[in-house]
Amino acid sequence: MSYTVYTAEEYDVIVVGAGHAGIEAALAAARTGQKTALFTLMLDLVGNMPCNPSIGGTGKGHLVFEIDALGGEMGRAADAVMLQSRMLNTSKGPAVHSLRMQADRRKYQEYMKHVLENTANLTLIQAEVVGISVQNKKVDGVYTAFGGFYPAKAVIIATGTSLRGRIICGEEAYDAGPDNTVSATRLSKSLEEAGIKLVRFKTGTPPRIHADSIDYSQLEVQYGDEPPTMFTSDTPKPNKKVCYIAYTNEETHRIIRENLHRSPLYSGVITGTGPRYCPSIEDKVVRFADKPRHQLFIEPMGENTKEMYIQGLSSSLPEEVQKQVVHSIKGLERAVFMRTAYAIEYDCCDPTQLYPTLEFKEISGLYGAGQFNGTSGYEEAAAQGLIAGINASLKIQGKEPLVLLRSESYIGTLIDDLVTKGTNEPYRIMTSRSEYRLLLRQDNAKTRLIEKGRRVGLVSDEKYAEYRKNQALLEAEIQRLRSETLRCTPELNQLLTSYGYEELHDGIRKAELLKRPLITIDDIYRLEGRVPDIPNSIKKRAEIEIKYEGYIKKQLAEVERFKKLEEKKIPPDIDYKKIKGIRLEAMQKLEKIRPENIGQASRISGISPADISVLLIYLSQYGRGNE
Amino acid sequence: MRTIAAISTPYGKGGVALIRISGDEAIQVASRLFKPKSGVRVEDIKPNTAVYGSFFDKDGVFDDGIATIFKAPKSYTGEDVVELSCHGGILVTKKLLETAIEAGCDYAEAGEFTKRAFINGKLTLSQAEAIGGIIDAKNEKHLAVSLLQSKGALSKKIAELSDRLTHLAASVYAYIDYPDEDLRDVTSEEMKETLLSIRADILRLIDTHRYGQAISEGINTVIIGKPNTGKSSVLNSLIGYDRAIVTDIAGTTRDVVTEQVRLGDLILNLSDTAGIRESGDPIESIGIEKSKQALEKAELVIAVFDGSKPLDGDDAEILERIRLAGKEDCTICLLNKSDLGLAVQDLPFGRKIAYSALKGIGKDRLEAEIGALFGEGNITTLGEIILSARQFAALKRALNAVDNALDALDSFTQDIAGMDIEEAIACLGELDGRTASEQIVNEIFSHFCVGK
Repeated sequence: MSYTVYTAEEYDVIVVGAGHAGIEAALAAARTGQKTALFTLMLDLVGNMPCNPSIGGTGKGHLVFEIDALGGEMGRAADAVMLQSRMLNTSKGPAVHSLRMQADRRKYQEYMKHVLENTANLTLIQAEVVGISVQNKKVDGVYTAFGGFYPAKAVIIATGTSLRGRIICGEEAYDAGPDNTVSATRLSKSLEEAGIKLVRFKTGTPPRIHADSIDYSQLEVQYGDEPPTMFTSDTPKPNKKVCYIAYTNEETHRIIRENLHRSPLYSGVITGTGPRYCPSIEDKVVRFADKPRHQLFIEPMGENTKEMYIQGLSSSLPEEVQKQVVHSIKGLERAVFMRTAYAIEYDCCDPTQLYPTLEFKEISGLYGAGQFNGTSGYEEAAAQGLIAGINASLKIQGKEPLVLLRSESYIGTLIDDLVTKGTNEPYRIMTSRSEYRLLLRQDNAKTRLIEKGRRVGLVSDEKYAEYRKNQALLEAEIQRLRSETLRCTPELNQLLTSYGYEELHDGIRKAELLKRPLITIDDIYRLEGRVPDIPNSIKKRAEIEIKYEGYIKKQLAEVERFKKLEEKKIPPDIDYKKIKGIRLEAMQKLEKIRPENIGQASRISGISPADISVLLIYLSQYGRGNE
Repeated sequence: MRTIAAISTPYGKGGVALIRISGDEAIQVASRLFKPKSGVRVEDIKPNTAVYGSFFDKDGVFDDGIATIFKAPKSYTGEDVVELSCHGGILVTKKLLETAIEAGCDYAEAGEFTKRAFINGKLTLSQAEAIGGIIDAKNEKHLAVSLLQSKGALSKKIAELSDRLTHLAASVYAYIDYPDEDLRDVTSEEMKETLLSIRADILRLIDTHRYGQAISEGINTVIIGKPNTGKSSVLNSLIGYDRAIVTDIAGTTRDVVTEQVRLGDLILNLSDTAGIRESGDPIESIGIEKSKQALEKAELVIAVFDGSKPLDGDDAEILERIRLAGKEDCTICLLNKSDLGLAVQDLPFGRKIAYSALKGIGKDRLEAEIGALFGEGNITTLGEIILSARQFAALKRALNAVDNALDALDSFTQDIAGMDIEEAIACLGELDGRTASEQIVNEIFSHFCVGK
C-alpha cells in the first residue's frame, strides 16, 4: 500500500458489500455471536435492487423459502414491503409452484438497513475495501481506501456488480457500479495478487418510465393472487399495486435490428459474458428471430414513486434507440424516460476455486458470495451470503461446516453446481436444475431445513416452536386421512361421477380417495361436513404428501442412492498424480475441483464413469495403505 | 494413461502375429525395440503407414517385421497406437511382447483397447458391444448386424429417441422456468402424441430382440417327450452326429445334454431332456428335475411323440406340462417315426410336423416352423436389431418409464411426467454408455479377450 495505514478496529468477520449476499452474510455471522463489520460503498444503497423490483420467481421463490427456513432475512423483508404477490406455475404440479412478490424498492432498503443497524455484534460501515491481507495462505484483514487496516478472522467478498464495474450504454462507457454508484476499482488487483482467478461477466437492466406517461387502456392488467401468499407467514397482507403486460411488435424488432451495429454487445465494446437466462431485448430479437413479439411486464418500483420498471426490455442500445424502441410499443407511445437502460460489466471469481462452504480452497478464512461467485439474481446472492456467513462463523467457533446437499435444497443445488461445474455466464437457479424437484418444494422448506438453521443458532425459540406445532398438525392430519374411512354415500358417488370416476359400493379410506387425481382435499372436507381448524398451508401440504406419495417415494429412493456416493469421502490430501491409470484430463480436472466425495467427483463435467472406477480402486488401496 | 501392450492375434502358430501397443508412450516404446530398414527414426514414421524393419532387444535383432503407427486421436483407442507384426511363432511372439513390456509397457487387461476407445469417446457402448459381436459372430446375419452397429447404426437410433425425449422434457421445463417469456404451453395431448410415437419406436426395437437373440446367443430350446419316442435321435438328426446316447431302453438319457445347432441364420441351444416321467431311480430323478427347469426357461419347445402309435397317458402328461409352463405358443410337435405310418391325428396345440429322425423326413418343415417363430419376419432395419440382453433390459425399462409418463399426464401434471421422461432418457443413456455406471462399463469390457 502506498498510503499510510493505521490499524483500525478488529472484527471476527468482515463482509465486503451490503447487497443481498452481504446482508445475509453479516446477519448470519452477527446473530451467531461473531463481532461483524459490514462494509458498503454507500450507506444509502444498502440492500439496493438495481434491477427488477421483485423478490422470488421460478426457483428463486424456492430459495427465499429456504433462506427463511434457515433463519435468513430476505423473506421477512419481502413480506414487509410487499406490493403484490403471485404464485407462478399453478397450472403445473406443486413442486414447481413459485412465489414472486413485487416489492417496494425504497422500503426494502430501509427495512434492511434498520435490521442491520439494530442487530447486536454488527457494525455497518461506509468505506471502500481496496485490499485483503493474506498471511501464510490465511486471510487476516482488509484495507480501506481511507487507510484503515481492519484485522479479521474471516472475510466474505460480496461485491456484486461493483467490482471494477463499468456501465455501458450505446457508445458511452464509464467506470461505475449499479445505479451509477462508484466502482470498486482497486480490490480486484489485491484479489488477483492473492492468487484468485477473476473473470469478467456482464448483465443489464431495462429503462424506467414515468407512470403517468403510460396509456393503460392499451395494456393488460395483471392482478395479484387473492388471497396473496406470503413468504414467512400464514396471514396474508393485501395487494397494493397491479402490474401490466405489454408486447413488443414487428416495428420494435425492426428498430432493434437496424440499430444493432450501435449495440456494444454486437460492436465488440462488451467483452464480458452475459446471462442466457435474462437476455437483453436485442439478444432476444437476434436469437429468436421468428418470434413476432416478446412479452413485457410493467411493474411499480414502489408505493411512493411514479417510476415503472419494464421487465423484459433490458438493453445496452444507445438512449436514442431505446426511446424509439419503447415508443414503438402499444401503450408506451408517449412514455417518458426516467432511467435509461444500461449494461454493466464486472469482475467475479471462478467459483470452482471455492469449497461447498464457499471458502476459497487456497486462502483459509476467505469466502465468496453472491454475484461475485458468478451468479445472477438477488435470491441466489442472498442464499450464498447466508451459507458463507454461517460457515465463517462455524469455522471461527471450531465447529463442523454447514454444507447443504442437492437432495435437500435448491441452495445446495446452486452451490454444488457452482463449485463443481463452474459457470461461464451469470448462473440463475431454475427448477429444472434439481433432480429432486418433487422433494424440494416451497411448502416443505422448513421441514427440510429448519433443524439445520436451529443447530447453527439462527432460528428463534418462538419460530421453532411454531414449526414444531405445525409439523405435528400436518402429521396428525395425514395420519387421520390415512386411517379414517368415508362411508359410501350418495354424495360421495355423486362427487365421483361428476369427475368421471366410477361409483363405489363400499366405503373408502380418505387418503385413497384423495389419490384420485381430480379429488381435492376440500372435496373431502365437504364430504366430512367440517373443515378442520388448521392453517390452509398445512391442508395443502397434507394433500400434496398424499397425492404424490408414489412419486415422492421414488425420489426418496433416488436420494438414498445419491447419498451413498456423497458418503464416499475423498481424503483432502489426496495426490491425484499418484493414481495409476487415470487419464491426464481427468487428473487435471480432479486436481482443480478437489471434490469432497465420489458423488461430487462424478458430477464434474468431463469425468467419466471409467475415471470414477479408477478413482474408487485407488481409494480402496489408499484406505488399506493407511491402516 | 499408462501404455499397454498385448498380443492381438490368437495364441498359437501362424503366419504372422500382431502385437498392439497403445498409450502416450507407444511410439517411444516402439523405438526401443524396432529399427526401420530404411534408417528412418521410429518417431519420424508417417502415421498410418506400414514400415519394414527389425525387432531387437538387449541381445540384438531377433525377428523382422512390420510396424504401423497411428497418431492420437486417429487410432482405434484414440491414443497413440503402434501395431507390430512379427512372424507368427509362439516363442517369437511372446518374446516381442516381453520386449515391449521391458521397454515400458504394462500388460493390457481383457478388452482394454476397446475400453480405452470407449473412454476416449471413439465408440459408444453399443458400438463397443457390436465389435465384440463381430469377433464372436457365429453366422452371416450376426456379423452383418454387428458390422452395422459397430459403425453406429443403433447408437444413431438411440440418440434420436433420446433427443426427442429431451426436447419434450425441455419444452415443459422451459415453460415452468420462464413464465414471463410468453412461451407457448405445450399441451398434454401434444406430449402424449410424441410419447406414443416414441413408445412405438422403443417397442419395435424391443420386438427385434427375439430375432437378435436367435442369431447371436441362440434360442433356448428344449426337446421333450416320453421315454423312447426318439428324442435323442431327433437331437442327433439336428446336430448331425451322435451326441446323446441313443438306445432302445427307456430312460437312458440321464442328464440334460446341451448342444448349439445352426439352422440357417438361427442358432438353437438344444437341451435333450431325460424323459419326463416320475422315476424311483435317484439318478434319473436328478435329470428329470433339471428337465423341468429347462422347460421353464425354454423359448422353443420341441415335443417329440411316437407318431406311429396313438397318444397315451404319458403323452398327454407331456402336453399338460407344456401347457402348465405356458409354452403352447412356442411349441413344435414332432410326430417322429412317421416312416412307420402316422397314427396320431389331433394335438391340442403347437405346430405339428410329421417327422422321421431315422429317414431324415420333416427337417425342412421344422426349419421353416422355427423360422416362422423366430425369423427375421418384418424386421426392415438390420442395424436396429437388439442383440444383447443388456440393451434389451434397458429398453424395457425405458418403455416402462414412457408408460409411466403417459399415465402421469392423465393423472398428474406435466412436470411429474417430466420426471418419468427423464428416467426414460437415463435408461437410453445407459444403453449407449452415456450415463452407464462404472460397474456396467467394466462388466461389458470384461467379456472381451485380451488384445481387443
